[in-house]
Amino acid sequence: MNAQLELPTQVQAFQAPRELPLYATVPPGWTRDTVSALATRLDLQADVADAGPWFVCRSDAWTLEVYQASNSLRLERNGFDAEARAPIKAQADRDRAVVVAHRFLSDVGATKAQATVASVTELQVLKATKEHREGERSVAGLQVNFQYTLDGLWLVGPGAKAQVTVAPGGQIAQAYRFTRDVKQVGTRPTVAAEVALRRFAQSTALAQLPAGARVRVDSIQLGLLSLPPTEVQGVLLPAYVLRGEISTELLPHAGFISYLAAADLDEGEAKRQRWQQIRPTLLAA
Amino acid sequence: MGTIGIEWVRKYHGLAGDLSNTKPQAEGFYNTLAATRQFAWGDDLAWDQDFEQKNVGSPTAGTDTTWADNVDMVFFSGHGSPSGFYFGVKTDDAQAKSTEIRWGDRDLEWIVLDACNVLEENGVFNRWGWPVFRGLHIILGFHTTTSDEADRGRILAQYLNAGNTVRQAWIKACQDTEGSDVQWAYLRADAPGTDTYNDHWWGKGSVSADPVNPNVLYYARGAC
Repeated sequence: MNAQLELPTQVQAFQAPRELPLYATVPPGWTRDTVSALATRLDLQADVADAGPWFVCRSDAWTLEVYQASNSLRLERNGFDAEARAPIKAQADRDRAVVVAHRFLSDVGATKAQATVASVTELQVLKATKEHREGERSVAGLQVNFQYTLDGLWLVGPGAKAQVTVAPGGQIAQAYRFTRDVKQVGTRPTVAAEVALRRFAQSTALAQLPAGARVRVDSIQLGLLSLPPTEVQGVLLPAYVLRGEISTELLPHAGFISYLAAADLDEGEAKRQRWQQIRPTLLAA
Repeated sequence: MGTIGIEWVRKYHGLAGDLSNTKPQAEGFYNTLAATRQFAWGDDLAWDQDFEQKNVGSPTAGTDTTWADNVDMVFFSGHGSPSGFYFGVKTDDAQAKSTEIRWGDRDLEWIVLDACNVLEENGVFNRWGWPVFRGLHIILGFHTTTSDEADRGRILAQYLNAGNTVRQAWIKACQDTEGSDVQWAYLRADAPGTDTYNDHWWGKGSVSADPVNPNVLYYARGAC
């Protein structure tokens, strides 16, 4: 059966442009020398090791991981107390954390996409003992979370974002920047939101639901899908992101995050252009 | 070398929405981690009682000493909620509830519950903490909803193989595979003389003694 979707007005009325830009990725071309140069820029002096999915550069104080499949990287302070096990003298404030985070993004270099602070969240820790069974809360760091836009479109999915965790003392504890260099290779007709929603309703995720089940879509977002930084990706596929909830008798509140194709790419063209993963498994429809 | 097992559910037969990527996600873990592979059950052969302790809670069927609690690390991929994780067939009641679970009294050190909301913060110590940890070191999961994706098991195994601590590997694998509105979480136990914070996969660094009678539990969560 096709599931009946419950759609709030803002989802029903969602309008996408008739065409969407298509961006092909540019292979990152990391070498030991370019990774070493990046490490030096981050004040990290150490040999570069090829660890399969990553180049790794580790000093006594820091570890830098550079993803071989994308232009992504992660920097960590080796001794960071991620559970605030030692007493915290002073917590960094949010403004200070944002300044530190912007400086990190500047240090690792600009990207074609524009970074925007999406949120500042807390790295939260609860410690429970037999005497305090509900736990005592502490904050091990502030996490400044960035999202990216490219020519006005959000980059969605796991592979285009950045996060800087600022320790209570105000220094960087952990940071990553996930991104891919891209070039525009034209535009493609948009799969209208109502068509994408219809495909979702017919998808395998919903096909076996019983008559009494409810599928509620809470929000819809249009963007360019970026796969995990560990994966080779040929193009940033235009995609809708749906968030909502499926209710059945066994599981009344099953939230979902689903990605739906917002453009249909031709597989023959993809092969000729050497675009990998134009139909990633992350797509629900 | 440590031992591992996986269970995954794609087909829920109407009990919940079907999932697409649980099989490749769990098998990515199974086929990548440097480990001795002990069991891999999927769909109608993945059962809640494989994770439950016999004669504990209701229903009382439980075979974890043969399956989940008989290896060093388990990866489950499927649906979840704060009270448990879900299966596609009702050989028992299709839900592995924390009230039916005691882990680590035989072997299990780490378990990944790659399912939505199982480690939601509210009440987590009383659901999954004090009753469940009987030698278990860490439960890895999510505070929030998570997406139906295929790569996280393999990426987790790659980080473990590379020598990251278990908790670091989980956090990195979640960051690599989710948007920042999703929150990873873990729950770990310690006891006098143990140090599960610095646990590594077997052969990749230190592994703590088992916190058989934990006196402290740590719960952590953060944005992916």
